[in-house]
Amino acid sequence: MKKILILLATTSLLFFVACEDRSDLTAPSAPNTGDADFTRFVTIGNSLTAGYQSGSLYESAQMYSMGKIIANHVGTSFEQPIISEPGIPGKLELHDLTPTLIPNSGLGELTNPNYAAPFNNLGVPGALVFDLTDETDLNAKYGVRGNPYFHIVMRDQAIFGASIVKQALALQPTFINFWIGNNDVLGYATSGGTSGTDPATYSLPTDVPTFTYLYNLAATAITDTTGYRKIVAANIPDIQNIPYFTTIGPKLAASLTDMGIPAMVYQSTHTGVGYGVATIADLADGTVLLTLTGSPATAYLGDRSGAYYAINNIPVPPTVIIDSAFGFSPYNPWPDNLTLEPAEITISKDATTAFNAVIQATVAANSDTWALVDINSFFAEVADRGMMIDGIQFTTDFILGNTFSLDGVHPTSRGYAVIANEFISTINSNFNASIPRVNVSTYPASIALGN
Amino acid sequence: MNQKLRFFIISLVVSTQLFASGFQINEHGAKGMAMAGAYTALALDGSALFYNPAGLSQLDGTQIMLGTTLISPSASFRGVTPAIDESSMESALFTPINLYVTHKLNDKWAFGFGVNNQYGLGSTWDENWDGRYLAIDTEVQTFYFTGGASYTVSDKLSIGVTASYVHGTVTIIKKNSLAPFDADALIDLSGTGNSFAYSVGLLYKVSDKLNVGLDFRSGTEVEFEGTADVTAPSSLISLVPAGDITAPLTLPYNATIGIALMPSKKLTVSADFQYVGWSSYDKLEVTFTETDYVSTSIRDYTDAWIARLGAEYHMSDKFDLRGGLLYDSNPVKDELVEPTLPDADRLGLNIGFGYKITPNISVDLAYLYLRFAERTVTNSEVDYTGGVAGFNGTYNSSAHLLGLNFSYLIN
Repeated sequence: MKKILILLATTSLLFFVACEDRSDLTAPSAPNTGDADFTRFVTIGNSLTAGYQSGSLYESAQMYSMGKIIANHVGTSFEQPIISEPGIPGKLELHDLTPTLIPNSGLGELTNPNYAAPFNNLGVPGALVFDLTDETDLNAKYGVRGNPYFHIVMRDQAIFGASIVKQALALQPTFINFWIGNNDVLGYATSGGTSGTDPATYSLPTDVPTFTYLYNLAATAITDTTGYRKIVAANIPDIQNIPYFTTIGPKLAASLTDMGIPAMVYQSTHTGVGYGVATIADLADGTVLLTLTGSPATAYLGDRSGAYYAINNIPVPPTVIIDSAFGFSPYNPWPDNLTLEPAEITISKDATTAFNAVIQATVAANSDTWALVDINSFFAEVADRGMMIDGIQFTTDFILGNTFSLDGVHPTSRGYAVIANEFISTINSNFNASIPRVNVSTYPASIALGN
Repeated sequence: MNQKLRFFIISLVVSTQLFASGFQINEHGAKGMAMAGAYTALALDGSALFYNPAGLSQLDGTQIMLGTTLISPSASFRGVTPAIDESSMESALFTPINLYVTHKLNDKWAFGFGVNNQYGLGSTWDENWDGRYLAIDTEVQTFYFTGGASYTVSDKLSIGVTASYVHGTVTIIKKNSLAPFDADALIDLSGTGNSFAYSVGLLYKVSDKLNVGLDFRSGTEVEFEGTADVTAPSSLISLVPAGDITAPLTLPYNATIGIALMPSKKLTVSADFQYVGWSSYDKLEVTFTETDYVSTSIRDYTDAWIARLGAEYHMSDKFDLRGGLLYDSNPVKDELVEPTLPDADRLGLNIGFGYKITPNISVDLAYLYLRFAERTVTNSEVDYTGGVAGFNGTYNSSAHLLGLNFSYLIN
């Protein structure tokens, strides 16, 4: 009998223990944002703010725009102009590890065109500092610039404000990320120094007085004189560190070494004789930069048939004699628009330095509400020796460096998370906040594969 | 690309806790199982080959015992913060078997042969769940083919010894991130291995009312050999290593002391303390034989123990009622817990009975409910992303086990 009692006791204990004893997990509490109030959070800028990746703007990249990452992390709403896959234009996809990159032939479209307020993310791919305060009618502007993104990102000018800055202010933002100026030097640099954004010649980076005036015009408009709204501004990374400029040159240097050819010849507007010579060392160490868009042209080096021009439907420049060796003869040099020669590198660097000084001065002049994200120094460090973040090695290597997407200019989703952390660090150290850094490795790898 | 390849191989580390206590099966006979496995000082049937080979000396004539233990584990995981969605292990039923044949040669010697599965089980999670880089499908099976002998030294003392040939198979399916690409590779590792193990046991009948049993089962190292099959997008297949692998896996020793009290002719109460030498499992090394690349993952287990308390009440000549209670401490440190088999300290409650259909044929049934302590991990060192992000969250597990045996006494 005694044993049966024990068994009964055991059985009842069984029921007791079998009850699910899980304690509810709760979502982590909102981080302490200190003096920074993210209630109405707006980001203003260009493609880097929009969340542009791999030559396109599309939903699975916009989900990891720097602003969206921060908004999710601090728990605030953040509306963006979401473009369906494969984006506008079709995003670049990797087809093999040669690498072969082909834009997706499809086209996405804006999924929320009737959103009845300005978007929180006012990053417009291609925007110059000029565009922030420009009030030109968007249709007229499209006629001049051919850039579809102003229409996509901006709401009705008559209702919400004619300029990007005005639409931002219409949201009565309590916090602004402000990152502009990259295209005022990138436009020049990515064209190989053949076109530009200075209003006088359109063949150079935006001139410094114009940049200064326009930057301050926008900055003054968004600065809150009551001191409540906080603003973090980021400066401009040096262009010579991005894979758009650092991939083809070193690759070509390796091929030339293999072929036993000491140098190549490029078309030049700065040497006085119409061409310049890039030695293997020049290509390897970045003295002369070749653009990523020059990748297809490397296949025609030494060609004497004019195939590069014929296949790409490019008119043969009058100075070129096509039966000379392409890329090796002064009469058939490597094209100017695929080359950033030393003088052009200097022009780009000087513009970047000057713009960054303007940005720094603006922040310093408003240091009670503004703080600076020195993204330039950060990327210089990544380029210099790479950086291990949350177990992932970030370098500026093309594709495998984890930092940059397939266009060689814009970050990957994880790259944007790294940038978001730099913004968070600046917010923490300037506005008494203690927002934890995001774990970069929990963001998805984002380099898309083609079918 | 070589750097990338290397990175990939490093992350291919088979970071699974194949042989955590969750993969140790201690239920190899419904009679012992119903008494919470507190059977070392009793060992009154063919399962003596497992619990204590000295017990063979108590078995008359030739006996055959055949059975299985149906095991149905369930586990859920919540995390990784800030995502607190729940994932559940897919339901599965495992059926480790046991077969024992014993024969008493004379007053001194008895022999036995048995087959059972001393380590096994598995887990299956959805192939797209958060922890897919850690575990999707894991299955382990070991067959122990055991021969044993006992020698009766005196009326009070008998000793026994066994030798086992161990055959193991392992299947591991999981994904690997192909970062920076937006793609995963599906890794399918499978292998088999063989080794030997032994055990020694002692049974001392202090009086009619008290038995003491000792048993030591050796550990063993199974050298698994197999292949890694990998499925990945064709554009990236060149990045992905595949081919032959070897991996030695260490199974722990078990040392058990047990006592049994028979206060009356009807009642038996027994208790075991089993010490499991898991600390021998300090790391798992996988060698890719084509490249000689060795990936090492630290397991760093601690020794574990199991305390068992059982009872049997002899209700009639035909019917025995049994019950028991066990507590099993787990060897896995918090920071190394993984979803391959979410381990935790557990409490087990047993109930069962034995019924003699004829004097020669009996059937035994045992039920065991294992309740795992809810385990919340906040300091995880197990990465689930391909970078460094701890797999923090809360595990909640339990298991139902049903043991069934038929025994036949030939004479």
